[in-house]
Amino acid sequence: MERKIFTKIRHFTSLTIIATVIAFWPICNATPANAQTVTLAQGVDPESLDPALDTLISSVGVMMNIYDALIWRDANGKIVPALAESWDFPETNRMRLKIRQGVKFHDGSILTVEDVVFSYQRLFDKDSPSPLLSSLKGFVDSVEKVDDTTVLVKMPAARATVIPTLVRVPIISKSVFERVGVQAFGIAPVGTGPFKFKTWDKNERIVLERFNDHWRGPAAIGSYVIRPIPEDFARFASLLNGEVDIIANLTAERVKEIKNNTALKWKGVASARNMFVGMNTSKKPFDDIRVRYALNHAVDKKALIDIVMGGHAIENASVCTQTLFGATKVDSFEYDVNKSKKLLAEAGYPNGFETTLLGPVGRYTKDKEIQEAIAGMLAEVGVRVNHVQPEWASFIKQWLGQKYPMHYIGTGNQVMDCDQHLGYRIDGKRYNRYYQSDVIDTLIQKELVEYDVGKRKAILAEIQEKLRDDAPWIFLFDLKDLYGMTARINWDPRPDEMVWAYDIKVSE
Amino acid sequence: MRLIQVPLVILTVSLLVFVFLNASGDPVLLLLPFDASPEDVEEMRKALGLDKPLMVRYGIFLWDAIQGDFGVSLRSHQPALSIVLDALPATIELALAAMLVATVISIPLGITAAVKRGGTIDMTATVVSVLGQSMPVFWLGILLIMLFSVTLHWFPVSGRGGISSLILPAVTLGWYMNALMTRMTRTAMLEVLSEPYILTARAKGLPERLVIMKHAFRNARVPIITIWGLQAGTMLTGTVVTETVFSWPGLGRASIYAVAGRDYPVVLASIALFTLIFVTINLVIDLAYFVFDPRIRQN
Repeated sequence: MERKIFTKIRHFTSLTIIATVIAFWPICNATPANAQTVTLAQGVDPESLDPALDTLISSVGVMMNIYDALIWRDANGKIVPALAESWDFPETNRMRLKIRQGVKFHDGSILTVEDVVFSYQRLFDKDSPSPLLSSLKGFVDSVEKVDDTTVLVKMPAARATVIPTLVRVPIISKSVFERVGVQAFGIAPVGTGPFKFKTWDKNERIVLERFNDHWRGPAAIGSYVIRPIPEDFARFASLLNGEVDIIANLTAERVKEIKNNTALKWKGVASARNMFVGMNTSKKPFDDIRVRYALNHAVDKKALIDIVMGGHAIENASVCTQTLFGATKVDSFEYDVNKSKKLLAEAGYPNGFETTLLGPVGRYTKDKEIQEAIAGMLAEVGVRVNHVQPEWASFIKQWLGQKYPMHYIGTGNQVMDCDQHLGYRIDGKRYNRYYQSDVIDTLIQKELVEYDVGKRKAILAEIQEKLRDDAPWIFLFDLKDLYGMTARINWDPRPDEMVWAYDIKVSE
Repeated sequence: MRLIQVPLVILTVSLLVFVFLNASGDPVLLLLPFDASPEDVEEMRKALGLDKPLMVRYGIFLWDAIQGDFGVSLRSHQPALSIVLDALPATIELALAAMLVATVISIPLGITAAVKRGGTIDMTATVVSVLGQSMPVFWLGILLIMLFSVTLHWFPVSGRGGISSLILPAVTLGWYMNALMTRMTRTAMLEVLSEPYILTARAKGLPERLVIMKHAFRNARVPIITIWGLQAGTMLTGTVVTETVFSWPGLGRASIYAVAGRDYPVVLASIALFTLIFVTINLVIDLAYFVFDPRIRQN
């Protein structure tokens, strides 16, 4: 450590000298990106490249280039085999997976059943609980070795979403992890994915290189670089300047600019995230369904989408984002101020009421503007909204603590299945959070164990219809993810917010 | 005396930060998905050592910190101290470059403005100091990117690597300090130039250059150094905005992310480091007075 500090001090001294010649330094142009390298700019840097530690979707997106899971989704969202070649269900609560043979890790070693079992079982370690485990709990109890080519997934009962749940768990090299330990592994990971880890300068860039021995065959591009550029404008300017090839979280305003620029293009994809306003249905005034209906009728969804979101959102009155498995279209609440006022009067609020809307700022696209626009619309029917807009950490604390009657939030989905949205939003008796319905809880228990796709979709549709009719939220819209890219990039964004560089092709 | 104050300052600051961070957010709730069960939350809290009472945790932190152990990040499990030390060189590089930019522009500009009072250069100095103190850093950074990166293609928009990527963030960060020092130098020089001994120096036929540099500037140094020192500290600890606009991988960004995630060990390690830097700079400035001002030396 001491030695490291000294080299740093030496570094500063040389920097001071360098700094003095700034004024005389020849000014150089930004160099064009190498044809074989594709650089992505996203908002944040991962905290760790250990899948057990960092479960943020932007970090998982980076990791899935380095690792493989047992099962994967292709660009169209279809479930495809990955490190597991095939699977079956010998019993309703047991899933048996055949592991692909001859798959190489980046260090040259061969993937074994032990690596698979280890990647799962370490998540269950009581001394170092993983945030990833919370997504597994209730779905997977353990993963065990059957023989040298087979593993068995044990579930507490039948679990319809077990397949997409396995997509979320990357397989790591057991021997490397045990040799280097959790700290070193988190900053220099080894997996079987299409790209191998090369370097990581924190908050600056992660460099991945094509892994030529990858079991799917080598990727089309030679290396893949991920740069965190937090500021929206700087991210766009980096694209304009040709410093990066793809930018995530393109803002709607910039889409117009890209349309006039032949060197660039943009693509949008309906994401897994649904935005809504929650109401505390266990307390006055939102325990009255007429009030909840009134508020749904008072909000002009079309105006929010067209004006605030620049058209880059999709109206949706279902609890489930329309990109998810099992999502169904339900009738939305038409915008009708008179109907809204009438319902409020019937519920005993002819002059409306005062309430508070808790919402984050800077977390979602145009979050502040949407909250303000909604407040303006509610004011039209006499509902006077006070805003509480803290930063994310205190928002989460206050939201989970149920401090305020209303909240603006969005739910994403990492398994791309309706069920996870139900888990996030309807906690029923388990957590006593904002909304509870015995009917819905019973139906959730039914869809959770239903392996028959047709039957399960029917139950999920019933849940969505019932929730629409019960209106525990002001239903708003699904977000679209916007990406900007240079003209040479051939890539279609995925609805799960991940940039999977194996699918990226470059035309010269 | 000063040396006793240092640990006291660190102690107070760290306690305040500790209490405030705890009151306003919960790292465990941020780590886990929305649908995590209360048992999962408790288990995670326990594993991270966050289940003990606040003051007990602060005591443990303090005891370990005294021995140089700031613990590991709650989020990445990397040692907190190495996270902040790894980010430090980028910030020091940026701050030094910014101070250099500010110093080499402001002092000559301020002196010339005072000497040629009311002239074109004096006007320029006034414009520079007004613009510098009224334009938000964030806005300036974006303007510079638009002109020098996007339009002229002279410098990269963001990132760190080589001199060309250092120039725009250094100018942005040094802009405010430059403005303040230009004004300060001008004022200090004007004040000294009106002293009787300057008249004497001129009367005895000294060349104007000597009068200004030897007699006037030497006496104007003390207030200039005071401002310089204050700004140097502010600069090292106030790089968050510049680092964000230019995606500069420094301490400001590392600590702001730690605050956002309520990652106490990293926040506290960076606070300790910031405090140490600030106090050290103040100490150096005090010593500088001693060297540059004979009146203080006699006391």
